Amino acid sequence: MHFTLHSNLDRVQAKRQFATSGWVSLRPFIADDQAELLRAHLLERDDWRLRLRDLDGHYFDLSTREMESLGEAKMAAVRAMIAPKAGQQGFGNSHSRIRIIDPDGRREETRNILCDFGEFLFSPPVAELVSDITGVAGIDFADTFAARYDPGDYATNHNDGIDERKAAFVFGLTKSWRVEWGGLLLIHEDEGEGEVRRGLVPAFNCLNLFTVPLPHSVSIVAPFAKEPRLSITGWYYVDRAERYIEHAMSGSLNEGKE
Amino acid sequence: MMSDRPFRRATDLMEAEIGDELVALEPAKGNCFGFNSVATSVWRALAEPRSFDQLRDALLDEYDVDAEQCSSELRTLLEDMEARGLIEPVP
Repeated sequence: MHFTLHSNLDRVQAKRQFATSGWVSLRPFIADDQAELLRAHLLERDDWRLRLRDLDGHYFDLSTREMESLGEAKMAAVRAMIAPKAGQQGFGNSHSRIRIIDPDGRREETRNILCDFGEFLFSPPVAELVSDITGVAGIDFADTFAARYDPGDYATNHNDGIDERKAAFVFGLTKSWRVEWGGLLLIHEDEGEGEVRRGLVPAFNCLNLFTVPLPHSVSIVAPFAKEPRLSITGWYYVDRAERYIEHAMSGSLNEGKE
Repeated sequence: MMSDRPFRRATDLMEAEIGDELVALEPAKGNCFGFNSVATSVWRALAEPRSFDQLRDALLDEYDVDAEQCSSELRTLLEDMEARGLIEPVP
């Protein structure tokens, strides 16, 4: 599928806001009907994997089948075991993922609309737009994954500042969200337990673009949230396009499965 | 072939009790396990090395089951736990 940037994007205003605050929301980002197709695809997928990280940096990964096998009570206990404790520092999170393009340029997703969108995000028009807004010259690659936050999911304060990342993005595909349901992208003043500078409510067809490093978190999704918080998320890099080309030419993990 | 040697735990788990069952996370490998009540009993008993006979006798004391069925199901359980890297024969 061919994606196009929305014609109403105000690049000058976006550039100004990013320069002063370190983040900007581009909304609408693409044509609404294209965003609708992405959302519909994510809602149909049944191969999400729950990814948990405790504050000591241990990762746990569960398929939908494994979660169903454990049942609600045991899953609640699992979440409680890895949940942040009072006074505990570090980065922990809980959300479900579908990997689209990994940081080494491997396309793990069977070619479909998600893969097309992952490639669109670092296609020349978008890469040039992101470079222009962020002031980072030479952006040419983004690693991407689809993220779904269900009730109980969250991400604690972190800054994304690893692996030569130049900018972070969260492309919202969430509809009919209430701020009381949580799931807010919170931009913090610092790495500690300080003030929250801004809370961005999950939205539809909205690209939140922010500088790296920037302290941020995702507030816990309330048990009574009636919709999943859906997004396509990732990070931008410079001088990595060749990696993707190499992997695509040599055969990625899912080549031949189309 | 089930070892005649005693068994011991082969990994450290983060555990949470759910009634008489257990859910456990293995931080070193990122695994998650749901133990039913029998597996929970065996795992708890293996806080110290235990032979097959010791484990079977403990289960016979705890559950209303005949010895033959208990031995058969315990053998299957231990094989499964060993295959998952949870337990190992004591060298």
